[in-house]
Amino acid sequence: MHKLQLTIGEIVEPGQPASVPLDATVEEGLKRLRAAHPTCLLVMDGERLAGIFTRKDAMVRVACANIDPAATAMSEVMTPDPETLTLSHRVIWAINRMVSGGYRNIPVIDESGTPVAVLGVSQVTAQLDEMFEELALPLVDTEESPWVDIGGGA
Amino acid sequence: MNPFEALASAPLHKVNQRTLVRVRATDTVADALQKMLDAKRGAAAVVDDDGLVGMFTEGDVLMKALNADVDMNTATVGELMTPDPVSMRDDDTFENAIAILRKRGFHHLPVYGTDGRPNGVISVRDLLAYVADHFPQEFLNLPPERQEWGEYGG
Repeated sequence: MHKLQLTIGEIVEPGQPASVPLDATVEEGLKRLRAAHPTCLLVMDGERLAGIFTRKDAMVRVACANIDPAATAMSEVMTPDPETLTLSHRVIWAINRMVSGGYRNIPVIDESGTPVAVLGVSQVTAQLDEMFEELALPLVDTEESPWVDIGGGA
Repeated sequence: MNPFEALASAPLHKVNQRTLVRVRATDTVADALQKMLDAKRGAAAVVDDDGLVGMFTEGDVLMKALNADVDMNTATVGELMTPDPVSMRDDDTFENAIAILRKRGFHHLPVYGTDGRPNGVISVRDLLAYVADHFPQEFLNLPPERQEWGEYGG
């Protein structure tokens, strides 16, 4: 099995991705985004995934827009209704979506639509890096060949 | 050479690089942000007369510029940039770029041309786009989800 054929479920650990509620302030969102160094936050409307807030959003919609983070809700600066992947999607498909959509992070949802992970470009580059490392490994014959000494002669 | 080895050994001048957004260490953060916004880039190269002295990225904006005690109209890029950036050369390989992005957690790498000057920047998404553009067609034609039967024929 090639690494790019792996499913997302095989390379991410399902859990609870970093998130904030829809009505949180941008100030709270920025604090959360800085604290654990996640690359993005999921913005939740109760159990429903309402949006995503990335470092790019922090730059473009907060820093460049000169808004007051303490007086602005996350709902105003997030990207609403983000594209999602499931645990059964392949890594190569995720690359396709990241390139086509211009995403660096894509939420991963389970069968009920609940976010269980975020697939980031760093996890994809890790797969490529490991794939290249394997290419560089010398070929070692692990099985004993019955034709060890072909000798010379006619 | 199989397609994966060809991908690993591809020189970076084959990857679609973006032109550098150049700022000076003495520029204000607000001016640098405006240049990045105009060019739709998440990173700017900080240059002096001798060349590259730093990178100013979305990460610097989030972690440093968006702090309440930073006035982006007076703070300079030099105060907040990441100095001594890791850079690549045009003839470095795709594999090396992926390895550095993975190990260092960067999203952008400045690239020096054969003239010894920083000429472009490669983002992690540019590298993924190269995978999508140059991977064997049969991979990209795979269904997004792994199927139990049928995809390999026979």
